[in-house]
Amino acid sequence: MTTGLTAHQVAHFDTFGYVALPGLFLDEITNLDTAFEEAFAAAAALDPPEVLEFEGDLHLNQTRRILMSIADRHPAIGAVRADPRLQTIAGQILGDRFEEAGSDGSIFSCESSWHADTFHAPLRQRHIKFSFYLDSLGGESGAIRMIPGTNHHQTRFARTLRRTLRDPAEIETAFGVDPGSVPSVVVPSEPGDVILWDYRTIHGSFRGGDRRRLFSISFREILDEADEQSGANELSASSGWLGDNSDVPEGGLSQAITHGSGS
Amino acid sequence: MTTGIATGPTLTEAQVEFFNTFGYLVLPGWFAAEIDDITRAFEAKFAASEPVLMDAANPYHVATDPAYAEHLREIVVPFVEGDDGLEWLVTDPRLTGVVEALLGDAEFRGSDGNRFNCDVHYHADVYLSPLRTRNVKVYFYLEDLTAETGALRMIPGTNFHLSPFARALQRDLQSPDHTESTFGLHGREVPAVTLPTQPGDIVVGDFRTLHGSFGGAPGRRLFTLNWRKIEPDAAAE
Repeated sequence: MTTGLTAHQVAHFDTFGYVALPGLFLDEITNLDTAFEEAFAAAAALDPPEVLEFEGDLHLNQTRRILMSIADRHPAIGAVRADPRLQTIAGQILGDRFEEAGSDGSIFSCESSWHADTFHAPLRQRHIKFSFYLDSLGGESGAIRMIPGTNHHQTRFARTLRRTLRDPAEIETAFGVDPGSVPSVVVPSEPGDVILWDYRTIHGSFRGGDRRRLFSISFREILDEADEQSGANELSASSGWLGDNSDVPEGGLSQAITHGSGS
Repeated sequence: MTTGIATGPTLTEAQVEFFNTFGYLVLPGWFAAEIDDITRAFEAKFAASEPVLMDAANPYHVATDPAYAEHLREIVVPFVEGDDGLEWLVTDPRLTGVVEALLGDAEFRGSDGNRFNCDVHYHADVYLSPLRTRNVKVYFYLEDLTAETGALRMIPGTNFHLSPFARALQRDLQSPDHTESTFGLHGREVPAVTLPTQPGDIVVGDFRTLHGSFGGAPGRRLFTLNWRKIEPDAAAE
């Protein structure tokens, strides 16, 4: 299937910041599941192991295992990146000039508090992510939750939430609810589904079980030189996203992580 | 009337911040002690009134049971004003405290009583109320309601009514047909937050916040009280 998104799906993505694509890779999901496990096993067997163990504030000090560049590590997942379904959709959202922006695999035995995937990715440059969850997930089992509309990143709503949700420990003080009760929409998924979303969209996952598996492939628009200079000025002027307002957890992620890799 | 200084329980700073950010607030059990009396007063008021019937062509109201296609919603306006069993709510310190915390100086702008036999599509409560003026509505639902039985659904963030997100939805959710043609979705499938409630709970909503309800049983009862901030709001984005 190379027909891309329908007009309805484009409108959903543009308005709410994400769209679920049920069964888009249903035919391939068994092979992709196997490939995911093989890639993780191979990376874990290296000396030193290349699977990162991460227990930051973002994950409420629980364990997430991350395998960067998973698409470069296994041909079956690598093939997804060039698949006409993804390429067509990326072109619909980002225009003719876009490029791959990395991939990652994760095994979550943790929650993921609220964040946008904007670490090391300037907000003004549009990035999208295709997420492949390999387990059946619902609201009470760790499905991703989105805060619709926060993809409109310059609105007061989005800016307030990026600021107020930045520290998971402060959310209850700020809003009077625990992080998992922040108003949001659960996006349930089954293996073979794909969730497409904007890096800017604030998201998280809560109440999940152990060993939830995900791999993601990202794309970004290519900015011309003038756009990039303008963006640098904008970032500098707003002292924003690579400074105090960055989503990088305290202590930082591995320098190998160059793009968003949230839940 | 202005609300004056509240003498009852009021909201925490966190609740005010929640309301200002997401456009609504649920206050569970705030009227649980009085809800039986309130419900009896609601029934008595309806029995003594001649409700107005919602126009069957109103695009926001859609009967899921064809038997109610011509009997979508009964409305009594005004509702609590002048009613022996309900008027006390206008000056109840819990409500005036909420209004004071959210709006500052405000004036009571009326009430309505309702029986719903239909879905209510997404809308903002901006009829006869300019968007630049901030209003809050206090909802008293008199049934146990969930997502499947007609609980109120809110779209957080649309209270920032001039934002691109809110404006897009004001346009694209303006009717069930627009929603279907834009997103390919029924209203109940639109991303939103459902607010389950039990009798005795209250919901406080900003007029600007897009909201609706879907899947409720016929005869769902709701009455609301409304307040308006005296000064226009200059910080609505």
